[in-house]
Amino acid sequence: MIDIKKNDEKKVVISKKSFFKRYEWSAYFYLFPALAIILTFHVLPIFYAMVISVHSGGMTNYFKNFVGLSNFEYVITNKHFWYSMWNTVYYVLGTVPAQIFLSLFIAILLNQKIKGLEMYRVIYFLPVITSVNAISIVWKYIYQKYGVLNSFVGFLTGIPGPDWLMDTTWAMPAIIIMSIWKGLGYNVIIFLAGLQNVPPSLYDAAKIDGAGRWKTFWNVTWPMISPTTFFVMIMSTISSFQVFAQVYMMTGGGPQESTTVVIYYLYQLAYVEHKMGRASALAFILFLIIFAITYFQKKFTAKRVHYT
Amino acid sequence: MFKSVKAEEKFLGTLIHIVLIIGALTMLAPFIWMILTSFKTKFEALDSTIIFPARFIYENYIIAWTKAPFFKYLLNTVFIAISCTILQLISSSLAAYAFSHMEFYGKEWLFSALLATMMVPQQVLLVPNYFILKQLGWLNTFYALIVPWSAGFFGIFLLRQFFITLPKDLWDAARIDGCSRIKFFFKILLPLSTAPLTTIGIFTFVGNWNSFLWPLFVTNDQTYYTLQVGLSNFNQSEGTEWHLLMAASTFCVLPLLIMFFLAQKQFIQGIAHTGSKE
Amino acid sequence: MALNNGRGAAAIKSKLFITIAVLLTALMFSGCVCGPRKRGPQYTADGRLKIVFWHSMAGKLGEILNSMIDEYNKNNKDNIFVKTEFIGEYATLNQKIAAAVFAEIPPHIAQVYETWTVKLKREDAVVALDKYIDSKEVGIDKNDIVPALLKNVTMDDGKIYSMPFNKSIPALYYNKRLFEAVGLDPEKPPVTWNDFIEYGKKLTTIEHKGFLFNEYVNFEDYEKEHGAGSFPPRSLKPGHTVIWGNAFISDPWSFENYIFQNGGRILSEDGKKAVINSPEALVAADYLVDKMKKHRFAMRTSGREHQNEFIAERVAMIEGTIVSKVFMQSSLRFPFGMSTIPYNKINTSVLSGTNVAVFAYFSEAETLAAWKFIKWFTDTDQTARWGIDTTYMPVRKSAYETEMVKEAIKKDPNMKVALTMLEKIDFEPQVAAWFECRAILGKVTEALVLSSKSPKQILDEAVVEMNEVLELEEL
Repeated sequence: MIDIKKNDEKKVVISKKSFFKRYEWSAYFYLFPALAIILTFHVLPIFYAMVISVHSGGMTNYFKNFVGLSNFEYVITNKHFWYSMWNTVYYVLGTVPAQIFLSLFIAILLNQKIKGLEMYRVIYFLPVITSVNAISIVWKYIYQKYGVLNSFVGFLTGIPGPDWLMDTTWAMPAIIIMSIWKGLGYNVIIFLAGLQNVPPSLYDAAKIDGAGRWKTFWNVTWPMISPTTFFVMIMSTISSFQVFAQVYMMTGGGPQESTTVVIYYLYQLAYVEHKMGRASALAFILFLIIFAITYFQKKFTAKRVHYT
Repeated sequence: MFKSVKAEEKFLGTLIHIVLIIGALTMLAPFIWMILTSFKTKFEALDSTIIFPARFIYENYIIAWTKAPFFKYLLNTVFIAISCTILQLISSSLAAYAFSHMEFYGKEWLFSALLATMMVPQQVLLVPNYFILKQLGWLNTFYALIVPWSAGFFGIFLLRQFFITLPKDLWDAARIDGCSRIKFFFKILLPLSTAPLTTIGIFTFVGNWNSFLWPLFVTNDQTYYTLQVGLSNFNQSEGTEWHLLMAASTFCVLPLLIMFFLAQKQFIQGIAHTGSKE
Repeated sequence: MALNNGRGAAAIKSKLFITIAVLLTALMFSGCVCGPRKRGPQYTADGRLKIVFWHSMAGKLGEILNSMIDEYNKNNKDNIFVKTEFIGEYATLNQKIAAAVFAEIPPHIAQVYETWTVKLKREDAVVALDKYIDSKEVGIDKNDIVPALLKNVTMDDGKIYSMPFNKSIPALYYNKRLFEAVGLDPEKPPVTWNDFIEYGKKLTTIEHKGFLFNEYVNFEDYEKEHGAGSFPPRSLKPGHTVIWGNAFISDPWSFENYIFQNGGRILSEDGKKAVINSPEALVAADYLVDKMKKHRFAMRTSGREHQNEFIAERVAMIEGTIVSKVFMQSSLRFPFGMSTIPYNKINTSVLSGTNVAVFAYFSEAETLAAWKFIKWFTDTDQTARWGIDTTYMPVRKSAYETEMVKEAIKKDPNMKVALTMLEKIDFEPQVAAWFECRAILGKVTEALVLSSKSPKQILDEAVVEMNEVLELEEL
């Protein structure tokens, strides 16, 4: 009986089905909860932002006057916007390469079958799991002019440290250092996983060929973990473009706008100056920039990634 | 340079340990400083050459805990994080099931469109969402804190990737035996998916716990504040009372750290899992 | 296919499940109402009318405010219950108010700066209080309000939209012990700008090998200056590295004070143009900058750090507000003095602090209740008590004549600064665009201290930016 049933079904599959029979319409019920929420709160706002961005409004009404593209014009010709873009690029260039390098380095060390791997993993991951604003408060305290970091630096080198978060030269590096510290563990874990997936047979083969440590790394490890490196690079770049909380908690965008990154500028436009139209225009431009960077990053590295 | 390969390896081994220990100390230093300061008096906290407090006073914790309703904040945070996680798991697995096991009109298109939503930074959505929440009448309620984060493409993506790795005959065989879609979902599919479900659960829970900007903007009232908002509020109120601030930061950070210690393996596996699924 | 396969029980089960899933989702959205609700008056469990008050009174100030309001809640005969919410610093409060007004769920009362009131008034978000002030049943004597404060809350249409609440003026705090250590009279604080510079330089000491040096950090130069064989004074705290004459925060308020004290203004009389690059303002700018760059006796801090530095005795003089006293007094372990800040041409102070406004979204009963609370709080006895406890200025003339105020001054002469009604008080311009102008002024003050541009250049650029903003004020 079962065989006959099977044959019947096969027949049904082969014959032309009507539009309604081809698809499983109950699928929409399964999608409904997730879609309802995502559409309302993650997709719809994008369209709303588009509408808000072509209006200028007051505190009580975002849609008071239609102003066409003048908000976009304002943002693009605004020196504060470009300054914040520059700060963001500075931040990204300061954090991403250093993070990748350091986390890969630590991951390689951890991969050497050493004792206490678990304990190290936990310790390196602690900063990641801490909430940004709690730990920003702690770092703000550490970065004080007469705080512990300067005492430590003074003790080691005799040089009095700068007033980190109040100094236009050192405020951004201070935030960069804190961000690297915070995000390191996450990438260490990912790199570790990538390293552990490299088949040991390759290492054995390299040993047989007499390759030294560096040669092995460059010719075996590095290409084999390239998908992981690629992943880490993209994720780090995207997330560092979105840095906000540390700036909000530690410097408030100062001193002299030297730590005003682009998301912080967006926050200022929207919540300090109450210029929702301009903020939405900026949000839009931002989205395009992140999209473009991801696209070019993917294109650029696609050739260099070695997939098995 | 070395007498033998073995000596070289020993040297390198020690070197590696030294580097790792220095790194670990750097990771831990801010936490240690935070905890030490939380036991100091106000004056000891202002003088950074004092490392250990003369006496470990625990009064700071009591003062900080009672200055603001941190217990309520903790309860709120737990409630919101758990609710979001459960709802997220349900909505994502259902949707992922549809994407992986069913053919429906617009499937590929919808998938790509949802993928694009992952690239929009949260702050961008804040302004229009505030407007939407106002229309719904949800501002300053738990709805605003939970519902928008009860679904997300991250979970759908992860689960769908996982579901398609499962053998196709699983469903065919079940169907023949008289199993409905639903039964298959609950009795067979979900039990097999504990790994990705744990990953999503952890990410959602932690992300929600540490979420700051969103709760700050959609609530106005101490009744709904989470730990992060409460801490930020406390920071603005007690700005320069570092000894109190460190105590407050410690007990805000502690719950999650404890959870992490207890569930280390799951956390770390979860993260490694996301990395390798690219 | 699942629905069409005709397997009875299974089909019904899946339909059931799907219906439940849909219902659950609908339930999630069930909090949804079409449009925001207009709330009627809210009552506490025991039937008292609830009035919500948003404030930014941090730390100790918040405690004092709450204790006064607890008393009001216990004793008032109008069955009113005031619920306070600390919203954060003023910047946060501003954002929250704007967001709440937008969402039509503001509090009944909130602290507001005049610039916020101007914006709120334009959106019709706050009520004019004149009908209450002038009413027979619940009114107050307008003439008893300190004239400068009354002028401060009267808008350009002649109406009053807020009542003075926590007003402060700047104050100088100085460490009497450090004064004595360098030979200055601890009962004679600096009065003019020149005094301040002179004192500041004297007080800045750099410790070197247990001795305190000013400007020179070696014994040879000291001997050259003071004669062979002479030694500088011994260090107060062995191991203490540096004592600064002054620590300051580069916030617009200090700069405003200096400009006004030198006879300059920020905006023209009609508020249409910026005049901040006048010669008087430039002198003020130089005064601000020179203490750090030229005379080297001042260090820059932010937020309330200068208070901490003063407490730690790393700084001898700070210009704070009269309210800094409340934040610091429990921690000060040395004798200190308080006075008005040094001036140059005109002995004036710029008013700071906020007023309270009542929002327009509520029923008549609630608005009246909000007014009754404000009336109580600004009444002679309460405002005197508020002044004594927090060192804010009492807002009624009669408060300065009360016994409690006289007692307070007798007990602690430092209180004189806050509890003596000043002859001359200035306040910030009240045009709509002042909010943005003040933000520019803040950046300017910071730039004067940090940037390498000359003060003249910075001020000229500021004028351009401010004029732009003043023109665009419609947007």
